[in-house]
Amino acid sequence: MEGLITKKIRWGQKFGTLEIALTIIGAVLYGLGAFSTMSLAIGFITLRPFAFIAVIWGVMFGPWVGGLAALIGNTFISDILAGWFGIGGVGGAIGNFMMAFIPGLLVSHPKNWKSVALWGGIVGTLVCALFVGGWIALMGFAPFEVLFTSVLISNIPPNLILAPIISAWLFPRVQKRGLYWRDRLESAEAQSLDEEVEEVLEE
Amino acid sequence: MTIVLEMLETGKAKSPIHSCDPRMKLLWWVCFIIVPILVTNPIILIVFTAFIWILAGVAKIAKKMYRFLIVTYPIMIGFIVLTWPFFYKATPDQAFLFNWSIFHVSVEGLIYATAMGLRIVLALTACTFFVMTTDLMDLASGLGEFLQNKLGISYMYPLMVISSFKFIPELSGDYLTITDSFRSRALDIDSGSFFQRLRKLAPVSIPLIDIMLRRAQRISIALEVKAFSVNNKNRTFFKEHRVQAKDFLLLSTGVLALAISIAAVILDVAKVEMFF
Amino acid sequence: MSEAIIKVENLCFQYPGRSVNALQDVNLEIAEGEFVALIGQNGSGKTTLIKHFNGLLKPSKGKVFVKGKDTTSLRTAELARSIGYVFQNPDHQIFAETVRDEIAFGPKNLGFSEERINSEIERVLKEMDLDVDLDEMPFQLSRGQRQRLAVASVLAMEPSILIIDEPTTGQDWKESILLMNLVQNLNDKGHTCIVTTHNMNLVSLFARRVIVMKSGNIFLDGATQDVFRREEELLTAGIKAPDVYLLARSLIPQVQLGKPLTPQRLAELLNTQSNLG
Repeated sequence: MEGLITKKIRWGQKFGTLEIALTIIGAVLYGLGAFSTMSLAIGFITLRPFAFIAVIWGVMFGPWVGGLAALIGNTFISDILAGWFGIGGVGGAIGNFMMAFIPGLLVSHPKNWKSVALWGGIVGTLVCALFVGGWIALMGFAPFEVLFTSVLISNIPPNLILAPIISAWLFPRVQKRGLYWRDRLESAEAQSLDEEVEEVLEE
Repeated sequence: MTIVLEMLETGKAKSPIHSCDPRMKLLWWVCFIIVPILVTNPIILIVFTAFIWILAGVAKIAKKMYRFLIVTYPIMIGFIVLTWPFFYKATPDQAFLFNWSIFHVSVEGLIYATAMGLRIVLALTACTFFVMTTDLMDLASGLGEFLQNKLGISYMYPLMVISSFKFIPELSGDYLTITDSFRSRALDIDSGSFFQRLRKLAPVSIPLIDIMLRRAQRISIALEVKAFSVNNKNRTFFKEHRVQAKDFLLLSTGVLALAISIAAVILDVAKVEMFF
Repeated sequence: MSEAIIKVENLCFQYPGRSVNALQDVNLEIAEGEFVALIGQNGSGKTTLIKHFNGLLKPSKGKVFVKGKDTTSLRTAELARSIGYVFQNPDHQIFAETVRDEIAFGPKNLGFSEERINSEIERVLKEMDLDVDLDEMPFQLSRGQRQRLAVASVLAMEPSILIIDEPTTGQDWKESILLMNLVQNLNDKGHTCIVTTHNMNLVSLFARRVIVMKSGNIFLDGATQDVFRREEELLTAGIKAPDVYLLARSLIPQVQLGKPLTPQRLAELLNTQSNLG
C-alpha cells in the first residue's frame, strides 16, 4: 500500500449531475445523523457518532463533494433545525467543510487505514475544532478551549476509529458502481484526451 | 426524524408572518444574529426574547416552538452555567464563592454566565422562530434566483440545499423501511445500551448505503433528463417574489432591535459588566 | 374453519402528525391455514394493516391479536417467531456477504442452535427452489432469486404465518408464477399466507380469500370467486376484476362458480354449458 499522503494531489473536481446527487445524499445523511444525535448532549459537547460520514464522503466522492455535503448537512440541516445556526454559524460551516475536504484531498487510498485515520481522524478533525472553537470565541459565546475540546471529544472517536474501518469496507462497493472520484476524474480526462486526439486526426 | 419533518411542515403553515417574503425574514433574522453578539445586558436580551415570543403568538407557532425549545433551552443554558463561572477571569476584588487552584466561582462569574445563557437563548429563539415561519425551500429558491441573476452564481448550490430538504422524508423513509425489515427478522434494535444499539445497526447500514448510492445515481439521471446543467446561467424561475408593506414592517422590527443594540453600545449600557 | 390465528378488533390507526386515520375501524379474522390476498389501491391501507400483524405499528385504537396474544405488549422481534414478514423490495433487507449468513441472520437472533440453523438453511433453500452456492454473494443473484432469498431468510425462523408485501413487483411473469407456486406449497403444508399485490391475475390463480381495502376500511371480504364477480363495486375501489371473470359474467351469468376461476375452468364450464344446451 502507498504512503500516508497521496502522490497526486488533485485540487479540482468537475461537478456534473452525479456529483450534485452525491452531495445531496451526503448532506441529508450527515445532517440527519448530526441532528438525530443532538439529544446526546452534555452542554455543548454533543456526541456525534455519525461524524465519520463527512470523512467517508470526502475520501470516496472527492474533497468538494464531501466538503459541500458536510457543510450543507451540518449548517443548513442540523444547525438550522436545531436552532443554533446563528451561534455555530460560519465556524461550523467552514470547520465541517474542512473535515471532509482535507481527507478527501490528501488520503492516499480509501483502504489505507493509517492515511484515513491521520487526515480524517486527526488533522481534519483538529482543523474543524479550530474553526468552530475560534468562531464561537470570536463571537463571545464561549471560551475557545470549551468548544475546541468538545469538538475533538465528539468527533475524534468516530473519525479515528469508525472512518478507517468503514472506508476500507465501503470502497469496493463504491468502486464497483463506478462512483470513486479519482476513477471518475481519470476516466473523464482519458475521454477528453481521446477527443483531443480525434480532433487532431480530423484536422 | 419526525421532529425534522414537523419543523419543515410548520414553515409552510399560514399566518401573517408565514406569508411574508422569505428573503425579508432572512434579513430580519440576520439582525437578530448580530444583536446577541453586540449585547450582553440581560435586561435587553430578555426584552428581545419576549418580543420574539409575541411574534410567535402572531404566527400561531408559540405552542410548537415551546415544545421544541423546552428541550434545547436547558441543554444550552446548563452548559453555559456550568462552564462560564470557571472561565470568567478572576480578579482579586471579586466576591468568591469557591476558589481552588484554577477553579473559581464568583458572584460576578455567575451573573456573567447568566448573561451568556440569555444571549444563547435569544439566538436560539430567533433561529427557531425563523425556521418555523419560513418555507426553507421557497427561501433557497428565492435566493437562488438572486444569486444567479445578480451575481452569476450557478443554481447548483441552492439546488443542492433545496434537494437536501426535499430528500429528508425520502431518506428517512428508506431508513425506517430497512430497520422495519430487520425488526421483522427478530433484530431487537429497540433495546440495549446506546453502544449495543449502534452495534446492532451495523447490518442495517449495508442495505442503507446501497440504497443511498442507487438513489444518488437515480437523482443524477433525473437531473440529466431534465437538462440540468451546472454552467447554465440563463435558468428562469417559476415563482417570483414581490416585497410588500408588511414585509417591511417585519423587517423594521429587526432593524429597530439592531438600532437599540447599537445605541446601547454607544451609551455604554450594552454589557453585563455595568451591573458589577 | 379453524380458530382465528389473527384477529383484528375495531382497529384505528393514525400516522403521527396526520389528521386522517390511515385505518378506520377495521374488524377482521384470519383462520389458520388460509391463503388471503389483500388488494386495494395505493394508499388504501393494505401495508398499514399488515404492519399491525407483526407489531411494526401499534393500534391507535382497537386491538390486534396474533395467536390469541395482544400485539400491543409485544415487540416485533418477539412476534417474528410466529409471523414472518417479507418486505416488498428485497434490497431493503439483504445485507450479508454470503447466502448462508443472510438466511442464518433471523434464526440467530432467535437463538436457534447451529445444527438447527444449518438444517433450516437447507430446508428453506429447497422450499424456495434456490439452487445457489451457500457462499455466493446475495447481491450477485438475479432479482427473482433475491426475492426468493428474502422469503427464505424469513421462512428460516419457522413462522406459521407468512406475510408477503407485493412479492411480484418488478418481476417477470415466470418468476412471479414460480414464487407464487412456492408460496402455495407452503400454504399446503399448513402455513397461513397473506399476500398483498396489484396483480389480479395472480390473485385469481392462487388466493382462496380476497380482502379489498378502500380508504382505510375493509370494503369487500369473501371467497375469491365471489369478490371478483362484483365488478362494479370493485371498480369504485379502483380495481378491475380479471378478464376471465368479466368473460364469465357475460357468457354464463347464472352459473355458480364454487371455486376460483381460471381460463381452463371457464373453458370447461362453457363446454358443459354448450353440451347441456
